[in-house]
Amino acid sequence: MNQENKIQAVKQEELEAKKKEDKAEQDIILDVQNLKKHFKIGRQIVQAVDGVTFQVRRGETLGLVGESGCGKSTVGRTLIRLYSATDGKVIFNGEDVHQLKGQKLKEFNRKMQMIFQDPYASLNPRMKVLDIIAEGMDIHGLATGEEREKRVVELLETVGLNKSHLERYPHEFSGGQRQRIGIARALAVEPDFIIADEPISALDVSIQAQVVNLMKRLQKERGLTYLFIAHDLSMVKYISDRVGVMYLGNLVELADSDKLYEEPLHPYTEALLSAVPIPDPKVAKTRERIILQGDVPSPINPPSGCRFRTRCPKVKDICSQVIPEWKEIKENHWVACHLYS
Amino acid sequence: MKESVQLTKEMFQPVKMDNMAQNQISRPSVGFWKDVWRRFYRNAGAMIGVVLLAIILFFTFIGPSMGKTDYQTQNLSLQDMEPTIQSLISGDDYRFGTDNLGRDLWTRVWYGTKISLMIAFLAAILEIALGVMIGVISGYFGGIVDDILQRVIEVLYSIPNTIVVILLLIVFEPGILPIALALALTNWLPTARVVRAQVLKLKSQEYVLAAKTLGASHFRIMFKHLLPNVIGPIIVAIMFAIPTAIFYEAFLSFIGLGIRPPEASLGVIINDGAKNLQIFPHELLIPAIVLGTMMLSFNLIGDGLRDALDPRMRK
Repeated sequence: MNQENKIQAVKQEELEAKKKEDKAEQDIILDVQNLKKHFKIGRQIVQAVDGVTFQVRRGETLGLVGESGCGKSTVGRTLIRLYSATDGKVIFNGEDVHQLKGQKLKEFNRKMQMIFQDPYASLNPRMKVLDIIAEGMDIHGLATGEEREKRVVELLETVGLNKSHLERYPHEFSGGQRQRIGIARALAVEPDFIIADEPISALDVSIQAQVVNLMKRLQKERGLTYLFIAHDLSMVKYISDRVGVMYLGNLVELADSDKLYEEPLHPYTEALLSAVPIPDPKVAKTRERIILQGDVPSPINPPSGCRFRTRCPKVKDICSQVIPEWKEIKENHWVACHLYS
Repeated sequence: MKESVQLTKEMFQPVKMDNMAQNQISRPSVGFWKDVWRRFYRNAGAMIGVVLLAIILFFTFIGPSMGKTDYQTQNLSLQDMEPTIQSLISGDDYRFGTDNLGRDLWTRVWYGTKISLMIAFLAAILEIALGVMIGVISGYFGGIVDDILQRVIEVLYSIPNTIVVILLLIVFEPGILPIALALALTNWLPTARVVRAQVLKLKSQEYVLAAKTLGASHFRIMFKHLLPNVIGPIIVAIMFAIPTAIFYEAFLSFIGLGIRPPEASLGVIINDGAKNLQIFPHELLIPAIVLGTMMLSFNLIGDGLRDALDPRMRK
């Protein structure tokens, strides 16, 4: 009896462990492996994204930060197939995104959506709000006639607008309202994963909070997963569970957002975080601001070895010869730097 | 006497922010075309053009039936009659006089205007259709498709228009359709370039990307997102293509490649009139004035539409 109980308990444990493993595997909604995107401009090749590896778990928000031109938006656009990848794989829900065709591609177009940066450019000026939001439904044949309009009204209400806006044109709305229409358009096809490409950087600060809070609420209600691309570090910290830092087409560090902000490991992250303004003059005075030397090198001809070495305050000999390995230094804390190898 | 006012805490209530009211748009919705019309209406030059064109169009429909005879009936005893104010107003006599074969110039001018306009409209429509199609395809697909089409356009650009038209008209029998076709085939190049440039600008706009991420087909993107947004330049192109075609048709008729007599177009009538210019100037002046007025009004309307459709282009 006792023996049997024990055996059963052990079996139970094993089962549970297995379930956990399965769950952990299932939980990865997006797996990006060594993604590269090079653009040909004349005879030159711009290495906009050069070998980026990360995973996004279902239901989380992964922030992606970096200065202008570091390839954040290119990553986002390559993930959703606006650009075809030069190399590497994007696995979404267990399938390679760049190999999809036919019905599977349509399914993917529904499951992954994007919110854009410029609310003044992201809505077709010749279309009514009704048709803008319903476009996804029209393409995928989700609803027609009254049902279509009813669902659009529901979506409008979800994002804080109402029925009276249906017949209006985009130019009649403010930036924040337009951005919410853009969000409603993305939601219309009931996606699981939304890439937000600097959704708030073109908005006033007061409106930024409105939009970010709306996104947070929608995530809770609909179990959405976000890839949040931005350069506003404090906003990224507020919305993200984990944050990845990019520099010149590479990911240099990826960690839980609290950990990253408390204990940045990569010298670039340190420098970046030291530039975040602190709303307390006393603290701000005593804080040491790390000012990097020089400019970002050109992605046409990036430095050998570690791409950050030309500006790194802690540069070593090895940095110019060997490309630092992307690895998990601590639990859930990835970094690519020779200081930690 | 001063009255003291008691201020209590109860009198001060925080104003409730009504989210719905905040999002309300009080102004009536002004659609794109309404807006265009409002700007167009205020443009005096364009309105003059509209009035002039309306008058000419009125007479092209009504005029031929107001004449004494039809456009090809000859009355050799009444050659080269000059018009008088009296006959013009009363209509008892030939209003515009007669030409050197004794044909009613009034009927001939308006009939010729109609033929010229038909050729011009047909040519403009064919030209725009071809130019827009090639332009959108070239701009939207880009890459090798764009390269090939652009090289073809460059080659065609280097061939003088007149030679192409003359060669085409030698092969085809001159008539309304062949002339319109010949004009369209040589004049679509600038339209294609304008449309291509617009599409290149628009196709990287975020709303086009959004449509792509939603899985929209190429066809849908071209017709729902790109074309409606280049409609402005297209309309302007049409408005400038029409007077160009009218002028070109007149030119072809003048050098004897256009409409064949006894059919009349403005070019044919001007050509006939030019022979008697020193003796009977009215035979040239009247059709020339109609031609000039028509081209002027199309150009005025085109200018007005350009400003109305794209206010940023205004100086």
